[in-house]
Amino acid sequence: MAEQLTPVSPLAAVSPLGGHTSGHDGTTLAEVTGLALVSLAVSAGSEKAFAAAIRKAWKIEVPPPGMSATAGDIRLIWTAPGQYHLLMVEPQGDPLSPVMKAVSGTAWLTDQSDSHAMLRLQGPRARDALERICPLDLHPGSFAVDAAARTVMEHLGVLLIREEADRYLLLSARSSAHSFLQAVETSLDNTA
Amino acid sequence: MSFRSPASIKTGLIDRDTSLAFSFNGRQMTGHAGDTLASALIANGVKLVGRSFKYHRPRGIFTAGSEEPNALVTLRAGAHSEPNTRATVAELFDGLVARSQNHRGPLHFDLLAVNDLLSPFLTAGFYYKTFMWPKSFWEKLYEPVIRSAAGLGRLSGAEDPDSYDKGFLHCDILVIGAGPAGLSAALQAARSGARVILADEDFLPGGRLNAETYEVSGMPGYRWAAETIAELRSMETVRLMTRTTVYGAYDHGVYGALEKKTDHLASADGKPRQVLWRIYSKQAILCAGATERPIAFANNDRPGIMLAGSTRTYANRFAALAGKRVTIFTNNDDGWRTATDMVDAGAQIAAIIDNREIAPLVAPAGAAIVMGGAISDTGGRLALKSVTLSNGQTIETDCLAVSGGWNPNVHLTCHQRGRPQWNAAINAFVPGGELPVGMRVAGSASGALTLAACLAQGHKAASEAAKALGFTPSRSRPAPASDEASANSAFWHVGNSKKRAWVDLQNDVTTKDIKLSHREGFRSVEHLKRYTTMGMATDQGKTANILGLAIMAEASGKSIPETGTTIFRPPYTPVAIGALAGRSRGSEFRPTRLTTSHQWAKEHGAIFVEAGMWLRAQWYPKVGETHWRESVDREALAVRRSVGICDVTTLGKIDVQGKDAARFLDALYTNTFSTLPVGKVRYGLMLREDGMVYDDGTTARFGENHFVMTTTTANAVLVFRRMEFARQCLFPEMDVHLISATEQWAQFAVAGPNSRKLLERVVGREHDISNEGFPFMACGEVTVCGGTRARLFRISFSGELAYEIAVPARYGDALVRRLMEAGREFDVTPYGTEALNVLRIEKGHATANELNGQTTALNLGLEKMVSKKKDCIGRVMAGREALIDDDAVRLVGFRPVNPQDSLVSGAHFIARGDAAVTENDQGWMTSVCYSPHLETMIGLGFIRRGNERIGETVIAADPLRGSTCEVEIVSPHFIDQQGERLRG
Repeated sequence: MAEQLTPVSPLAAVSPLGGHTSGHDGTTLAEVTGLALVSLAVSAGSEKAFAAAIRKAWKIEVPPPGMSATAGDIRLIWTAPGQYHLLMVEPQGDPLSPVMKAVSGTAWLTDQSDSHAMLRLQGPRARDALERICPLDLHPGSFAVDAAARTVMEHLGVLLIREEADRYLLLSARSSAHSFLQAVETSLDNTA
Repeated sequence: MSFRSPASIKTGLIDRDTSLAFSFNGRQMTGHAGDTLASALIANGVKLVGRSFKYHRPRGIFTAGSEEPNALVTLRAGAHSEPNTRATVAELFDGLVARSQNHRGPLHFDLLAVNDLLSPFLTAGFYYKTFMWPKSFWEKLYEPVIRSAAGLGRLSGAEDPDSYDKGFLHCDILVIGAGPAGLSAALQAARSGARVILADEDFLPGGRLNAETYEVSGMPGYRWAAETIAELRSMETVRLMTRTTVYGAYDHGVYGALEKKTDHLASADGKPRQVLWRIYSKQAILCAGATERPIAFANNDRPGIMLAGSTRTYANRFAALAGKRVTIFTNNDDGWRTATDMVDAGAQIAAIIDNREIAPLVAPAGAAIVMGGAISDTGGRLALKSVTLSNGQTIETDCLAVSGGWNPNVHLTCHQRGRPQWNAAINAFVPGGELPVGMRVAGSASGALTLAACLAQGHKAASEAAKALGFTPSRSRPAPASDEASANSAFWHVGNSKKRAWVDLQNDVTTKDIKLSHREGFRSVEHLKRYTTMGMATDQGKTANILGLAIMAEASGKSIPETGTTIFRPPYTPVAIGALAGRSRGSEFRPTRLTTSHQWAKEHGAIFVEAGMWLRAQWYPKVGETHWRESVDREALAVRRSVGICDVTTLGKIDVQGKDAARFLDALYTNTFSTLPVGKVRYGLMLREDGMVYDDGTTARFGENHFVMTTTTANAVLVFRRMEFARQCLFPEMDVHLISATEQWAQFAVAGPNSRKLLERVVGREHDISNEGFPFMACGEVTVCGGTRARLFRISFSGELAYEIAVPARYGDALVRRLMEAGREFDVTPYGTEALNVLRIEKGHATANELNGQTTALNLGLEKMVSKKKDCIGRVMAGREALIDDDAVRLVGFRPVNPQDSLVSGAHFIARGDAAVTENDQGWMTSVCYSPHLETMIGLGFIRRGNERIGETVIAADPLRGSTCEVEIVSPHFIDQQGERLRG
């Protein structure tokens, strides 16, 4: 049965950072919008079924601690024992529906799409800038492409994902997005 | 007169083609790129650079490194001025302005030098003994006068205009110090494949290789250093950090380091001046070198008296002569090397005085040799003119190079309370006992004071460290070099003089002070340090401590190791407070959290209040309102009259899911949630393990296995953390999962008799929100404004008919605007946290003021909420005898007998006629407000047996703020006691 399409909302959506982008001699910092984020908590005893459901739905293996797995437009991120976050292109309507269908009762889902500001930091100076606020070792030997970790930068919780060698996705709480943006911008300025 | 050696005889490691202009006390001079301020001053013939701490004695440059006790200057001007900078580590730049410190009048004629004449009185403990009475004079008179007369530089008093930053670094092997041992270690570690950080406090790595004339690998040491540096720089796995002092060794291989980024530039150009690094290392090799120590003898503090190794540094590295006619006083072979180097740089040697009997090396031609000799006095007021030997002979000289041997820089090995051990072969303390985890020590820092040994030890330590980390050590050999002559003797001071011999130049501590302190009963070195101030201030006694210990040991008839050392603590060298603060200044001290209606509230002139990191609208003043109470009263009345809107996004929201979610909540809350029907909300109370109330809030059931809990704003994180603890540790068998949804939803309270009418205009028509269809304490998923997903809760904090409506955060801004628009007909009023507080006090709801960690459910009148049918965290402890006493305080309301009287929270209740003393205390007022509804102030508070005393009059006394008034005990529900409004 075809899903009923939700009518277009007349309430205007506002992104946490108003679509901020800035350039720093070849390195860019830009707010990412249009992605949905869903948390998945694996139901006790359903670990194998969950992994099978994930494999079936997206052709990926459940990532080990500290890593994410990606295929096409989706990325599944390990965030805690038994907990993952799925990042995907925002679907029409409730983002939980397609995920719910995919995991078919093996995990408990919560929509987190509006919980974070998402910033993408890309370019040759990205790692130098992060060195000023990020306590993690971002050397490729310890934080390879697709590595993901939760950490704290300037008192703010951050979910950090290495998308490519010099491309990072940073998720931090929506309410403090401006403070977080300033922390990253200051780091870029200070290391220029 | 220039004291710079001509390039033809000594090139030095300076760039003679680049001249830099600088000034000292207004005198314009020039130096070269590669100079320190100290080397440039020496090259310009400046001897006098400052006045001593206590006696205002003329002082000159004493060392060539970070151990400098004398040459403290103020760099730069105005708000940028930086006092107490060691000239010996200040890198020269064009336009540098430096001033001397601690004198009244010009440096060469300091009026406070009168203190020196009073010196017989100003011995150790003088202040403590003298300024005893009257007691009050110490703070008001004595201390300010003493402080202004004694001391170091002064701060500008202006805000620091520079910025600072912090950062995090990671490596396999951290090498601390880039002298021969450090370079050798870093090279071997990097060649073995490890990720290496090599940090050195100097701007030119190489350490003593740049200061001495030895050869390494068949080339001058400084050249080998430069070539090694070049190789290290070319390796991707090496991070070379110059101008970086590793100042502290912390737990588990974490080191603190301060990198000076722009101190050597005329302007920071908006960039951070210094960066404070936290370095995570797996292994560390300490190659911090050694510090030369002086010998104490009468008047050993005159400008022109310098450590021998430092005169070599100035001569060899900077081509700057500390004197033209140099005398050497030594107890070891190093002194002799000084003679050769100084002659090579163009100086003349007046004499070599060695306390030992047999000359170890050949002296340069023309130098008088005095074996078994000692210096008994010196002459020259503002600069050294002569020295007098014990045999009475006087020698004319303008520089006295003193060497008392070398102390390994063991400091970082002791930062975790390690105690160094005495090594009699070099008469010095060496690292001993337990070192910080992962630390090795190599080179002079370990007591290996000769070149070949340093190179070999660095290499060996790096191989061992690499191996420990699973690397295969490179098969390369340490760079070859010879070991120089290094015999030494234990000779600390020239005794039996009536004149003062300085031990600690920075704090003006003399051999007499040490002996006096011993005579007065100070036996521990730590006490000696406090009593005499030896080893305090910016140099932390780097050149002084061992001398003081030796003299104390002698006085007490003990050995030096028996006497022991004072504890070494971070930082190794001074760190500016600004660097420790980093970016955490002003409005960036902490991050700010904003609600989704923040922009809208700002547009409407809201006054904001900080609630944790949140900024919340406190009230919305309207044109013409001059007092905050006018706005708050209006907002509160508007809610009770029609409808108001308040952003309640800041309350914690926790998504609880799982097959055991209901069971889990039963264990957490005092009341039962497993019986809560889907589509309903219940107020819940959580206890601490000790039975006190922890937090309260409402929890809504959206599905059989899905609850949404709200917490107070203040406890959002704490409650979540506690629930995670319960989930992971107390109930690991339960299938229950938690995630914060605070940020996901923008939530607004819509409160007042017209709230339903307002909501009917935005909530989709397919949702029945009539009183029957959506009664008090209902909840459900709805849509608003033609399709936006929303959650609706019928809950009330104000006592009115009220709802809370939540939409995904992205729609929060649009929703508040839409609600205001839809509510225009009802004169909808936005209200802030103050009106929210008034409304909840009028209704008698508890908040953080009442849930302060000292109150139980019984105290709060909520004892019926503690279910007896099931267990919950804190239930047993809540039943403790003292907590269920009939005499317990109860939450009740209070009204002033005279409606005009003001109430204050924090006031204590006493019976009428009783004195306002602790014994008569019956309870306290927790919350007060002006109730525009009742047109009087009202309060909530706890009073003994309050529930049985309604109608009684007591005194609310606040002796602290001088207010006392009569209050009547009333029900805490000031409005609508039957709760008809919120159910209507």
